[in-house]
Amino acid sequence: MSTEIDPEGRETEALLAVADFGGARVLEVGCGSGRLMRRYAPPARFVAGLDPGFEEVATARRERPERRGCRLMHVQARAEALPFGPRTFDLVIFGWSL
Amino acid sequence: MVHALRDAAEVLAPAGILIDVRPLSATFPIDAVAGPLEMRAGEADASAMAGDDVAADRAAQEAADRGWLVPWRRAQFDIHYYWDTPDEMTECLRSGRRPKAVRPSLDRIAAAQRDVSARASRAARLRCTRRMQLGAYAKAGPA
Repeated sequence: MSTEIDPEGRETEALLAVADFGGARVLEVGCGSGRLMRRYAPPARFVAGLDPGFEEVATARRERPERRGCRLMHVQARAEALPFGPRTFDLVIFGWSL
Repeated sequence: MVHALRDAAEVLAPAGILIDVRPLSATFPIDAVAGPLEMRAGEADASAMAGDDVAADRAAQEAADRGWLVPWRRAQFDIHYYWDTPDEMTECLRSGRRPKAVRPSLDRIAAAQRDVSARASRAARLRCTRRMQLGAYAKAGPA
């Protein structure tokens, strides 16, 4: 399937306008295959993407770009049981997942 | 949803921000586009998901009422999806949590695409426009 979603980058622009991603520790809840987090990640310190779907997490890991700087990680887990300690993240994003 | 927001507020640092961004459930337009040429080809109906919108909004309000999050900013904007063929479009719109009905018919949408391609002398694509809602919330409590 060939679907191009938001090539104009309006969603990324809206996210970056509403909060300071520079050096931020970011969690995306329900990240799916990582489409959105790959776009806003560059200015962040690291981005953790969480999704309950095995296939989605596997795809996200496969498509994770090789880059220096911002670190991306993908975790298979449910939103109702976040596997992180308190006060870990500066930003939490529910991207198409609430 | 409320439990997820509660847990999200827990993992937020003081002065942290929670962002909820999602497409709104409404009928949205499908256009055939080629460069500056555009023609309305049809529409897709996502209104079956309206209950999901209400539930998500209520969860966010409850998180605020319970003192976990403070509403901070709100915005709406549009994004586009693009496909090369009606079949690709149909496969995409029928996937996800709720399949979306496409009107008037794939044949008429394909005809609109061919029409724009002929007039533009280049291959037209199909494009839909989704209205997005973004809500940002600050973690409650001292920074």
